[in-house]
Amino acid sequence: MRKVLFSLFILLLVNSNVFSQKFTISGYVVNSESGEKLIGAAVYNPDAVNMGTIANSYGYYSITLPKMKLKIAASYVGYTTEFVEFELTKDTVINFSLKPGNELEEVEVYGKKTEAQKTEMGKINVPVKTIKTIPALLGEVDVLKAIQLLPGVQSGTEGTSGFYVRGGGPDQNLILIDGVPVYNANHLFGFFSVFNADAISEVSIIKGGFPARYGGRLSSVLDIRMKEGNLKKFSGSASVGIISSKFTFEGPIIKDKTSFLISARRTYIDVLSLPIQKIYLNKNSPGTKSTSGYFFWDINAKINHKFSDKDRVYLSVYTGKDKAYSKFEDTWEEFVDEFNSNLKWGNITSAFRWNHIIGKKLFANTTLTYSKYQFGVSLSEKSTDTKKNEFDEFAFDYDSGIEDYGAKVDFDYNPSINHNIKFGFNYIYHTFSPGIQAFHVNSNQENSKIDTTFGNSDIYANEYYLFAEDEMKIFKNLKANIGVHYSGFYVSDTLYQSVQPRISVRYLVNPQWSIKAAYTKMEQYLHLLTNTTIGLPTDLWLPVTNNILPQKSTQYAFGSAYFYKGFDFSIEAYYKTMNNMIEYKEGASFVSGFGEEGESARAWENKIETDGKGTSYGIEFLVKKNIGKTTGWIGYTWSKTDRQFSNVSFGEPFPYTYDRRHDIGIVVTHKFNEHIDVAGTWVYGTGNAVTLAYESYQALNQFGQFYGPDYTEDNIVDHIERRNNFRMPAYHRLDLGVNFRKQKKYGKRTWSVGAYNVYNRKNPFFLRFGRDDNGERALFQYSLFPIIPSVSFKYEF
Amino acid sequence: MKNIVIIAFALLIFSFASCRKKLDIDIPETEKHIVLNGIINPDSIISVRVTKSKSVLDNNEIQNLSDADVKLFKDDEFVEELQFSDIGYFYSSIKPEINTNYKITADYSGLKSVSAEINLEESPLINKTDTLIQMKIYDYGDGLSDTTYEIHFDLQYKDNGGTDDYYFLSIFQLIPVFDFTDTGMVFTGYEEYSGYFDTTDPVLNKENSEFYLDGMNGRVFSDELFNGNSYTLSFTTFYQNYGGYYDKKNIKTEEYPGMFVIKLLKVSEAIYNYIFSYNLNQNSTEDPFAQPVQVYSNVKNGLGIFSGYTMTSDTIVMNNPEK
Repeated sequence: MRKVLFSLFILLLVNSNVFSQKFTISGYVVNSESGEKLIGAAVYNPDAVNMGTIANSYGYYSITLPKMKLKIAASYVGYTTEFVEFELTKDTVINFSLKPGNELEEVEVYGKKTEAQKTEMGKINVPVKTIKTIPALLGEVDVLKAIQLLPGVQSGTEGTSGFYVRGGGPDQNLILIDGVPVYNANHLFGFFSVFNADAISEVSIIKGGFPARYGGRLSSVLDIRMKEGNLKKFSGSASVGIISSKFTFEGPIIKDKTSFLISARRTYIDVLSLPIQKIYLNKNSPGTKSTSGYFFWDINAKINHKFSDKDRVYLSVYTGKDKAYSKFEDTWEEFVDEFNSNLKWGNITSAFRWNHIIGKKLFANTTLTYSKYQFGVSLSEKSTDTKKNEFDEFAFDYDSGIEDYGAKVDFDYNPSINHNIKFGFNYIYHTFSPGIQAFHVNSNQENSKIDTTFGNSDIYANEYYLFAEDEMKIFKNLKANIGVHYSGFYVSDTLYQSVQPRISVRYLVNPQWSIKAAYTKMEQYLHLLTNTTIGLPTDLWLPVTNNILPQKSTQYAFGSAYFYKGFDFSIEAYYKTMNNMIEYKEGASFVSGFGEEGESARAWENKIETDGKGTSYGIEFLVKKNIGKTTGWIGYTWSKTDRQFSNVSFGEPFPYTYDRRHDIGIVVTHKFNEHIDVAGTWVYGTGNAVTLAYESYQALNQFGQFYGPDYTEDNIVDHIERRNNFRMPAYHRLDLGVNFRKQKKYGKRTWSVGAYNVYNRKNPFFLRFGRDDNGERALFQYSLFPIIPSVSFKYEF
Repeated sequence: MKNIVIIAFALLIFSFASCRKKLDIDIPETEKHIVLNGIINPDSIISVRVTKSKSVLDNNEIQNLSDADVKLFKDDEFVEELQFSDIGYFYSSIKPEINTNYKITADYSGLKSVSAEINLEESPLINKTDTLIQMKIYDYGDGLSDTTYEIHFDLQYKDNGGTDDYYFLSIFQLIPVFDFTDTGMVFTGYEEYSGYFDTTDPVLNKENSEFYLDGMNGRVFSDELFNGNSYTLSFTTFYQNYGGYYDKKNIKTEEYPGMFVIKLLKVSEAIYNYIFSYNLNQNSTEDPFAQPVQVYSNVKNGLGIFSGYTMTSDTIVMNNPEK
């Protein structure tokens, strides 16, 4: 069978090359004002359906056609389409420079590559421009929160950036920034994501129908590309918001050859609150010095250099940190007490990339990557008797993290108009540090000194994959992307391997309407140990071990896409099964990831259930409009997802916490003129599934029988019948924002005014039993965010 | 220490989550159950408490099912009907024997009939108990002092092979009590306290293993690490000689030494499961992010626990290390 398939593949590959003389047109599609690549731009013959290609992730395209008189166009949403007419008699390089268009004019982009024409399924590109316009919590633009508004993607806990794709867990999302995985994409306990929209050029998410080039996670790939830096002129922006300020600066180092971009932001509530803390302390506790605060910062930087038309290199770095701290010093006569505590976490990711055009039809990209996530807690206490010169001190440190070194080579090979082949390999060396604790005790009184370190030891692992895929035209209107992803993971003398077939098929009924289907198998060698579902920095990434097997999934998807008068309509149904998922054992605490004293190095393995199964199915509708004065989308998802563990809830399937029957996301932006634009979002989701007791009873009297018959109110326990048996009230929220823009002498200023949760809906955050004002037992709902207004100022030059 | 993360997060959440609202949604009304609770041992008459569960939002007191029909079976043969007494328990007239099956059934009109059973196993044999005593004297002058003893115990016993066994370790202090009189202090007897012990023993030192079982404070543990072998349990407690504090001049406290009674119970697997699940349930109600846990029950068609234990004890007299 395999031989037959292989022969068929070779036949398809060569058939189009043998009958007539063909030539290749290749080149880059760039923004004419900044010189930056336009990823995914369409290059095509406007007079013929199916005679076109798409620029790859580096803006490079290549198309091979027979000798002919030809009209060729390049188009990209929001840019003016460029046409070239010539006679194709030899291999030709055409670099297209597209001019950013005037989106106020409602023009249909001629010959635009619509969703209907694309072979890929379950992929959505979200324009960064829209992300920036969407009103955001506290005015802080957030890429991940925009993603949550798409069908098939669900938000988790209120206000946080975690997302859940087609019933998968938060650990099943591969989040890439310039191709480098980011392990913890959260600032401020998940309320903001680490991605600064000012430094980003492209955002796309794949929910199913994964091409073979992606792997390592079961449920989604969120591919975020950083801007490259303007090759033509210097430009930048600076903004001030309620919680943070940021600036971005970019420009050419050598015009049209080398450019840079740097973008940074920092929160400043800690700095602003410092004088207030001082005044308060001076008034209330004169002998005490105390400061505490929280901040986060992040920096994105990139340099790219063009050696020649054939060779370009890029170096991109992201680094960011969160820190909560508290310092306290109390002096009373000769005694001084000092207390320090710190909680910090952060990522660094970096990528060095080399694009090389080997031949007209072959493009190579080599990437070296490094990424590290670190989390640490430290505490110290010192008491000093300054007269007697005696002291006691105690210190505690906890550190955990994950560090990766990686190398990747991938090729784009376009042998003919009918084939677009991608192949390559990837290798990552992981170091997992699940948690090291260090204690330090010192005292000159009792002459005792202790320095102890214990906890889980480092785990080293090698992960690799090879892939090959071909987006091929099988018949006139039938295209398919067929590929295979082979991966392996070597840890603790155990090698796990898997072969994952990937197939997406598209049949074009007419140029506006297509029917699609996809089948994918995925495997994941990393697990996230968490039971909070919030995205706390304490969540631990851990590898598979001899006892904990890789997670696996199989997904079938079927759908249709239709393009009509500037609107992309799509509908997709999916069925997904997941295996070998993990979960904390019942009742295990969410800090159990910390190694306890006296525990073995891999104690965490005993605290989890490992045989989790999941089933998820649903149907998603999306109407999208990316051009014109009014843009945005309406997404609706009907879905069902459950989990099953043999030792949880009597081994029976139970609804997943984020099993959401109905999920709606509406995003609308409207530009009245050059000065004013407005945006609104509305979300609705069925309430989360939570575990709630319906019945109470008196538990065993622990103290013998001396309480007597009146002992009827003590030791009452709530009886839990099933996991996630109750639905919280539905979640819905409206956010609105207005941007006022004005051209000034040296640039453009924008005032953004908005409100989160405009109609002040008290959305459920968690439920708890308690006593009401009359002392009666009642169920209470706790909500997080009421209406929150925001304002920010931005200046672009 | 490690809770700093939770504290930081909780502070943040609760500073925002100030909005609490009483929910007016109906919680599904489910079928109520007979709740049977009783822990038996060979030294006491068999007794159980029979109550009715209620809706989680029901503010009424728990209802004692004093009219319930409660029967006792011994090795599947009917023995007697248990009688309700004023103190809220149903009593039998017999004490249980070891290696015998006891079954309780309870019927009440309108509720599903329930049953539960227990087979008491032989009590464990303690081979020996070694103690190591360290003392610290706090001298307050004028003949007044307070002595704290730190006592380390090594208790050795043998586990049965071939079966999964479960135990409960408890420690009691017998403290001499003195009365003040015009002529000085007079010894009046010993008072018994259920004590607390510290341990780093991997068998004993498990989260959620602490419990008051039948008035005894202690920890439950299993033989999973030493099945069929001898094992020495290590634990530490403290003893304060208050007598010395009161009047060291007149009372020779060494004549009235403190005592410890170590109680090693052979408990059922049901008790072991119950204690862990009960503690997890109680902890999870404090943490809004933890999954609530169901308390273990061995009562068929009902709720609660009916089980038992056998016990061996060892008394250790405090040899006064001051001598």
